[in-house]
Amino acid sequence: MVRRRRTSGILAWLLEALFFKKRSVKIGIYGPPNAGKTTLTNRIIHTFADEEEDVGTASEIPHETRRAVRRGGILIDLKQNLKQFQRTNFNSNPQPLSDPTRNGDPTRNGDPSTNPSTKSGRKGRAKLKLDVVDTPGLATKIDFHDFLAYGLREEEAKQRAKEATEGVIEAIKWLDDIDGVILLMDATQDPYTQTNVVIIGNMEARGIPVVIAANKIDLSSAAPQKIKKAFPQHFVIPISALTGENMPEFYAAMVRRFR
Amino acid sequence: MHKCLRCGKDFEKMNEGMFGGCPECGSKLFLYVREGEEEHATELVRRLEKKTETAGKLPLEGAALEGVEPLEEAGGGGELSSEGDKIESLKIVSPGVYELNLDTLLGRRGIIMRLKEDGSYAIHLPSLFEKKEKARRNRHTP
Repeated sequence: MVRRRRTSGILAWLLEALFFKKRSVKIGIYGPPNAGKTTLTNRIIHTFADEEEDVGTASEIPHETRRAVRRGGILIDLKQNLKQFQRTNFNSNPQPLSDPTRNGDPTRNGDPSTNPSTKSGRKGRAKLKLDVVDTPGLATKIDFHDFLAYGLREEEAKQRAKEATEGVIEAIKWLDDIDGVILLMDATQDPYTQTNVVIIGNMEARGIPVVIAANKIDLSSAAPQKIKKAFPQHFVIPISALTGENMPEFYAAMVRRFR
Repeated sequence: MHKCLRCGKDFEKMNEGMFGGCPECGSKLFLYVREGEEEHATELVRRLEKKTETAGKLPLEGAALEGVEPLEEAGGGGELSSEGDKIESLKIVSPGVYELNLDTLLGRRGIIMRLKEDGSYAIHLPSLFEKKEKARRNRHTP
């Protein structure tokens, strides 16, 4: 049985090598509740796969997503999608669009010489085939009382708390099968939380590449520079998943980091 | 510079010996500190410690996720133990109130639920076996 598995592994590798078929990378979208994970996942799908398709419903009630949802077959082609960015990403706030495939990444914290595209000069390869996994929000405490304020009945709130707890465990299990992580943080909140620090520490220990998205920059209280300062060793891209602000830069960072 | 979040020891560079945790205290949480920002890092560590402390005293009544029953009706309360002493990945404070130890869960150590303050635990065996099964499969995969 072991031999058969080994043979099939070699065969798959040979087929892949012969036909240059590049596998999809699995990208998990992680973060605390209400950071905007489902909004971001929907936006990625609308931009690169299907404008009508949603993986989940975004809601102001925390822990709306309680099961991980995977959407496969997404191809990010930065050059092909330039026009699409303009059409879908700046509906509410039109801005001139720069070419996200050009060298140099002003959003990267730290030494710019570590930018892989600058180093290799492979600016033409601006494609990334990926599956995205929208995950339930990670939290250290889930209390049904928090849901009562949103009009849920006690039984509903308790059920939601139970499902949210199971969701956290499911989200963490997915990490074993993930090639890269988009860590979404709410730029209007303090980034120095136990959840953020623990996730980043664990990603570093596992060697999983991370892109941090500082979301909700459309809000006046957003302070993405605080997130940049808190995690200087990582890519931190300020975005608004809701309005589409700065999304081309975010997609460019994804391609560079996860390719 | 990398600073251990538990014992505060500074390390100039990450080395292989640190992959399993801090050589001094075993903690796996490090904070990256840029030159000249040591003061900022000390402040961050202090704030995180304060947040952990203010988690406070919590009552425990005993409840469970589906499929796991509490050992018996619980009562009383108690001070939360420090992160390092915790073996549980999940604590059921009362019906509908849960505390998760992300560090333990992310560390792939299997799911251990704390049901009572007097030392009653429920161990989710499938999560532990799953881990062994994965390790076994990895050994046999070329």
